[in-house]
Amino acid sequence: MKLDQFEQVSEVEWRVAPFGRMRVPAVIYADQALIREMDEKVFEQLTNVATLPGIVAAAYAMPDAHWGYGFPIGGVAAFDADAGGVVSAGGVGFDISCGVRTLHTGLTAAAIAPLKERLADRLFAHIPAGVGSTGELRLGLDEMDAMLRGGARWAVERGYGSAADLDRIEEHGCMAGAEPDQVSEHAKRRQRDEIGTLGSGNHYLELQEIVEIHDSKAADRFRLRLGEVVVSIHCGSRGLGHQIGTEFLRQMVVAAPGHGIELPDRELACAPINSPLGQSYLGAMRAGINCALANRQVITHLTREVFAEMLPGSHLSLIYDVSHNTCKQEWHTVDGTSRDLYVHRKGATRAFGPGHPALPNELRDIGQPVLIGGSMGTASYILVGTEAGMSRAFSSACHGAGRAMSRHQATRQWRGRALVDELAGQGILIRSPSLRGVAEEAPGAYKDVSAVVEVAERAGLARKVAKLKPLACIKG
Amino acid sequence: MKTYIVGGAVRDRLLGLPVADRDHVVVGATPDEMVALGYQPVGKDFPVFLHPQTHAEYALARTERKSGHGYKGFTVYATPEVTLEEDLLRRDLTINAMAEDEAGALVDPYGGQRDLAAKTFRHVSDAFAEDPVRILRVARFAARFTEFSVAPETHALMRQIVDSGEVDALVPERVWQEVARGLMDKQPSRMFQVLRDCGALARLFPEIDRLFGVPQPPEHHPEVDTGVHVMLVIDWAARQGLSLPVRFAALTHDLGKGVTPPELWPKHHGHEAKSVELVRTLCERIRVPADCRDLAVAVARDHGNVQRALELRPGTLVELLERVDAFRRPDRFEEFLQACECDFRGRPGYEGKPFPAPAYLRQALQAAQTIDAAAVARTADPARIREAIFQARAQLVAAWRDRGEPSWAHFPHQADMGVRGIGPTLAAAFEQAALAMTAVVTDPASVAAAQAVDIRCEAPDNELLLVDWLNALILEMAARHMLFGRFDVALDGPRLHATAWGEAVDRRKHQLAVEIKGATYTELKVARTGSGQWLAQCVVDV
Repeated sequence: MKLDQFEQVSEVEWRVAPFGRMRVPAVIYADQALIREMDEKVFEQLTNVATLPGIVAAAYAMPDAHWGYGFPIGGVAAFDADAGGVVSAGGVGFDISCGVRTLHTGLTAAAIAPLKERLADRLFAHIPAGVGSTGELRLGLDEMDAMLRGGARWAVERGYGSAADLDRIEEHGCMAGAEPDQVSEHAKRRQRDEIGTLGSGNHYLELQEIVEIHDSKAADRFRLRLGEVVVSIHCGSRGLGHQIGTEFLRQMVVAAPGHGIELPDRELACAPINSPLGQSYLGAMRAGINCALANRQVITHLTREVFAEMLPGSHLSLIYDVSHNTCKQEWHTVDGTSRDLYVHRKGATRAFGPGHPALPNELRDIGQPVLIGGSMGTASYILVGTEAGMSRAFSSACHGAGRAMSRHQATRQWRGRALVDELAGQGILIRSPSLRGVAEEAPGAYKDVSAVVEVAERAGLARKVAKLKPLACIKG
Repeated sequence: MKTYIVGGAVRDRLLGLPVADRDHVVVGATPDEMVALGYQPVGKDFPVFLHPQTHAEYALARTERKSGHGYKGFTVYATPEVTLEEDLLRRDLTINAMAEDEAGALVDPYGGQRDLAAKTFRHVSDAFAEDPVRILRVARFAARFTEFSVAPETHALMRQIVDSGEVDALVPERVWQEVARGLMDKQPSRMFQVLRDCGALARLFPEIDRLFGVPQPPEHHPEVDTGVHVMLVIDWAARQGLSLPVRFAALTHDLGKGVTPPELWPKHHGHEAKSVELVRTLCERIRVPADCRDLAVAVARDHGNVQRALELRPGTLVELLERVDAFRRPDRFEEFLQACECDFRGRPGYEGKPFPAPAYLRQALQAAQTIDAAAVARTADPARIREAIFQARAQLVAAWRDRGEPSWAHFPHQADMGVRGIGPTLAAAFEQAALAMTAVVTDPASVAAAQAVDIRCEAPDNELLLVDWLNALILEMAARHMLFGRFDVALDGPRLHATAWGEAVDRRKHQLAVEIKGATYTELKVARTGSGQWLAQCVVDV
């Protein structure tokens, strides 16, 4: 994007004053280089978001923002229900509560090295990944509703993981206010056999080595030690979430004129929070969040089974679980007043700072772990929420690298087999059912995650704690 | 003797970039000592050795004094007395004049770290002026390190070198070598910007320099300035990671616009022919390799025809395909289309617009290729075989176009993929859009029609109906774990009734790429095209 359309607030904050129908400014956290590389669509989409009814403070974009649907991916916006605020199915996205969780193994990379190949093979065999894969669980309608109400807690009650896991998940593993009745039969049909599956595209399960510690105090509290191995799982609410997104987007498009909402882009479809459609979506979307939490919990269990089999005595404990595509009701201080807001994060991570009541007791004084996934074959990061971040973008941070190149171009430029071999040469094992999928997800098709994380830190959104390097990647 | 890592490897490590090659400098050694240690001498002009095991380059520390005009006119001193600091002093930029000893300690006598932090290209000493290639190197670095800028005193020195006429003495091969490398860097436009700022562009590439300030019609070119357009085009090519020939063709396609008489501005009728002439002269002057030259000539000559592809008559289409040698060199044809797409997208606001020409030309080529050349050759007058083949191809393209043969294509979206169907009827376009969607997941031809699924939907307008249709298919694919390869759509006003044929997903049989989450309203369009065909498209989230 061109820099001259922004007012530069600081080295890493760029602002667009309201023009046209914008109700609030648009703010992008990025440095010059990242702004220049961003697609012009980010400007268009972010300023469109700023026109929506009831938006509070500003429409924000994270350093990894890119061209999305209605909202830019990497977009954050909060709405006040009492001021005519809206909830937007496009602002949450199709993959509701897609997110990342990271588990300790307590093992060093050296200890795992001789087993790495076999471990990758076993994980790939044990965890369903890719198009058309199904899980072991078959959910009938009652059990489906219980899952949609209970989230990760449902999974733990069924023996998938332990109660200790729940504390390390946003909402303590169970999103309140979920209404399975608002989730269509179609959506439930799509989900029948998809619990415990990774999906495809940019979703993965990765073994990663901690290669840099940037903040030793926070690293100690997260129990991150140099040279140790963690497991990161990136996936979402599977077919159920996609179907909820599809159906409510359609309903909101059609209902918008009746709600007196003029949409600059159909994809921005939304409904007043205080409307039957808005409430219905919130109930369904929260059920979608629970579906994602349950899914990651079951995959965690499958991962533990593989480790127990191959490395008896190992103990995988959850560091944290974050969600990227959500709308959550939260209290935030705006201009000195505490307000009850509906915060949309589309491809953005919640990043609560120290002292936030939503954090588990043992992390409350240090802040929330913020897990940033890289692309296949590149680094990932663990950050921590900061005090300063609480006054920026409603405690939000970036979520990943963001694509630099379309899938189409990626397949023209790379061949899956050659990539797998090249990464193996760098000590990174790839296991995937789809070589074309691997080519589409080539590391070179993504932006440099390090630059994104660097800027997130300089902008005060979150602070770097540790850098992770992939050892093996199970790719959907 | 002491050994140091020097130059780019030190710089890139400090920048946190991957280090490819490590150059070494050896201080306090003679060539004989190096040979005695097993190093293999390779340098022609100065003493360079290859390490016996790693084969990395080790050069003896040296100083250089200018002794004549141009690149070769140097006297080299490489004695054991030459210090590391003296060796670093002769280097071009402070950021490239740092060294690291065997223990990893940094030697930075000329402020390289300071300039890295300030993101500044600053020359080390006045010796910079002794080799005019360094102007090109600085320009090339600007294309790679896109946040760096040239220090005012370095800029002044570069101007001075240009004014002295030294740049004119550059060896053509060296100019091409540097420009080719810069074109392959991250943001090639910055290289030309730096060259232009110091006046070197006008000396080295007057035909590119001239483009700045030449207006184009604002209704097609919001950027107006031809120079700005060309810079957008090469940066787009770089962002897509395209090949050197494509980037060079992107750079030179509009050279002809620089010689349009100003009274005709902003129109540039017939600029393509002038571009071809100028491209040839330029390529000869700086010895551009044949693959780059040939593609650049083809793109210069026919980029206008590609933009108008959908309006061309069948005979003209075949002439175009024959001219770019598409029948014999399909890979080159792809590069040709890529460069033309860069031309289309290198305009503000055109980055995400539908550009159907490449898919259209590929299909025209496919239609023309169905010719039975042997049969034509048997029946035709031997003296007129070429013409007979041309006629047969033109007839095939005409038949393809008149049939309005349905077709599908993908178009790019940053994170996901666009699907597009084209057909003689709205229903056919919907069927093709569905095929395009299947092709996101797998090759539609690999899906057997083993089972039929009935699909119905209804929507207030055609665009919503397309999204509903694709989402209904996505639901059936997901819930039944099926893929569909054939579609039969019937439309009745706002209602769609369709049958989709397919089979269960089979990982061994279907090369599966990615699962589709949903069809979206992004780039959603259902409309009639200029040629009377229906087009139905949107982006799908994967």
